[in-house]
Amino acid sequence: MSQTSEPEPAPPASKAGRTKLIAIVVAIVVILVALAAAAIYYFRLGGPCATPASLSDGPATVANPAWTAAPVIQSPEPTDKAIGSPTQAGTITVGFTISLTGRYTVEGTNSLRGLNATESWINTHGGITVGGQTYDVRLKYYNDQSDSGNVNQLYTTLIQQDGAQFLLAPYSSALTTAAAPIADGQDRVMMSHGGAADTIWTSTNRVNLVEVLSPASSYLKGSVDWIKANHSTDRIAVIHESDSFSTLAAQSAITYARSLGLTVVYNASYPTGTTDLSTQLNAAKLACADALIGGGHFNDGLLIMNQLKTTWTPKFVSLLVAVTEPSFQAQLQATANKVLGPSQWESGVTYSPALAQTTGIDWFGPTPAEFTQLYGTLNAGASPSYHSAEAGAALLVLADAIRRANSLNTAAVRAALGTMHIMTFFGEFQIDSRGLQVAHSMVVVQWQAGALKIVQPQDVAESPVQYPYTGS
Amino acid sequence: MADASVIVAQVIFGLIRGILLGCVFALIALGLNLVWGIAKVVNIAHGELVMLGAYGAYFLNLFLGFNPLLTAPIDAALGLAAGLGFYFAILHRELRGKEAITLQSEMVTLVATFGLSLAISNLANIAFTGNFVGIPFDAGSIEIGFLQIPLAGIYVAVLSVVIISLTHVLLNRTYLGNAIRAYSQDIPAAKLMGINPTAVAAIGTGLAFAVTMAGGAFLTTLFPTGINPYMGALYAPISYVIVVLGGPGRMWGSLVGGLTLGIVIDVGQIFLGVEIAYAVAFLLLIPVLLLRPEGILR
Repeated sequence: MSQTSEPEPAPPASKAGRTKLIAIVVAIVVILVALAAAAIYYFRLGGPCATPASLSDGPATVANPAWTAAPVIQSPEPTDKAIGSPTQAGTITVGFTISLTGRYTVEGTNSLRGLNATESWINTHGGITVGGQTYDVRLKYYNDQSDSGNVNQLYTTLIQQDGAQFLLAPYSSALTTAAAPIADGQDRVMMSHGGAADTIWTSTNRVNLVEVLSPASSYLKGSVDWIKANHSTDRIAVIHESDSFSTLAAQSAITYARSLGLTVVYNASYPTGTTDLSTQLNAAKLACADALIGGGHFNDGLLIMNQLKTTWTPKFVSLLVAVTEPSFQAQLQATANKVLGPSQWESGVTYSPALAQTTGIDWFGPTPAEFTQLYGTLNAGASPSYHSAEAGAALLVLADAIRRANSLNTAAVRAALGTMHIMTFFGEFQIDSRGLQVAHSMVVVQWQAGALKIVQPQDVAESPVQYPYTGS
Repeated sequence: MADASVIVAQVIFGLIRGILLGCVFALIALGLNLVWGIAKVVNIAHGELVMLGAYGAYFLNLFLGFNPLLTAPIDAALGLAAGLGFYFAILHRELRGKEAITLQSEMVTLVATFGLSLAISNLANIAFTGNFVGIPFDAGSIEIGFLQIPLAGIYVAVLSVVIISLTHVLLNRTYLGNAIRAYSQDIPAAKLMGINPTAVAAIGTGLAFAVTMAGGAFLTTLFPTGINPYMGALYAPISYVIVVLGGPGRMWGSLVGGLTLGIVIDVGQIFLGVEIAYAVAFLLLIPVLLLRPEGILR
């Protein structure tokens, strides 16, 4: 410290004061810049109307001239859907939480849009008739912020404070697992539209939780089937999120692949919220894998694709959940091409009243084309993802169950759900005694030149699988 | 490739990746080390500074199209200003006029930064939403035999070491650096040497915030979708472990600690999985605190 060997006089007080003043001014400027940036970002998202951050009421009725002009229910038995000229009795409140922020924002937002579309369809098609009186559906929801810790309190509020008569589960298996006990504890039917882990039903004795979508164990089987049929020597690497849904989907795929004689050379999991998977991707590459399957949800699907750019180019990539979202392609552009994924539903599926009649089951609700049109009308021309469809279908099935039960009683509606075997725009609906879905089937999709195509199974495929994946 | 050679290849990649990541971890921990060493403040809001640095890079890229590597100097400037503001708004009231920084002062600043941490993360959640975002930055990669190393990792690792080196030069080869070190060692003696303790402590805090936010900007190139309001919850404990490993107040200790932790995490997850690798990395604290509380360098 030779420089300080000759003491210098302490700075005068005025100098210190000026330094302090400058520092405070600079700090204020920084804060103002940060606030301005936050404001720009907030309004760039669309302002308060785009993604309600806390409590919101869904529209009781949605004016929609374009849809009103469209054909109404195309049911093989249309007289079943309207009973005389019922009187308007009020509303049926359907409560739920949804992830409008946090890691499930994309899936949750699209689910909500699907629910709004179905709510609109029900209310503009006579509502739900119970005991000769019609009820409109009213959605009541909170943003759970993708956090299962928020779920319990919010559902209790929905039931006790907001008077929710029926419930929809949140998005994701983790949050559905947290919400499910409330359905039995508070005696409400709860429709699961985004919780696919079989263990939600198989590990407990649930009564009021009803699954609309195909279970997690079936998600990756279509991709494995394609590998077996077309490139049976390809070695498979499985890298998946360690939540219950993704683990079940991945482990079921591994078991299934091995039962078909395929080789699984690498298997690793990663925790929810992981931000780096390059070690696992390199390990899969070094294990000489040809195909990569797994993933978890939207954010980690994007992460895998982004890190594949600099680590590995497998010949075949099939990922859970993320692939079907339009924003997957929007963010990755050409990198998304030739990536496959399982889908609960696509707008190109061929479910129709005629097919239902051929199958010998009832049809209820809009056709896939009508749902897609209504969804686009309500959402500035956007196309529904399968998250939109499965959520919309959950509300539709609930409405049909209430109508069939001709009652708002939980036990009666649950009993009606247990005996129903119907077809909607989403596909078939039938559950086993536990409430687990047994009739719905999935498709496999692939991004091809910027468009999402159904590629499996063969009888509904819009295009053959493009192979190999090239990274662009 | 045989099983043994696969494992060897994985370990080599893990080592390289761990070294690259460790350099960035070291830069981030350097910020904590500086404010801990100079002002004796255990900054609980350290992780939130990393988060703000990452968001700074994100917004500069989103609105102005900045390359995330070039956002680091801007982030650092913002960090410097924020550090000066933080010092005069919070620390100065507690530290001014003190001949020595007592345990009571350390507790006051610890609780104050804890409150600041909660405030920043929750305000960020409101302002930015809880959505995970990232910067679409692809600098390419180089192939060395069977290994494919992302260039972005190399760039940020080199830049991190450069910044740590410059900080070392600043602290050891300049009047300001000597003044900062003098203040951290003996406040009354520093005053007798004509050093203004307020200015030195404020600049030291600003410097700490600057390198932390620059580190946050660098992280965005490594983790393409990992920016969110609560990301600091991971990087704050990582920084504490690094500082303890390297020794509080030792600049090069941060680098040694960062490299150690980066390698443990990246190589560990090959054999143990991600969750257990992080647990092992944090468990390193216990033997180090018991056997070498002054850090592994001495």
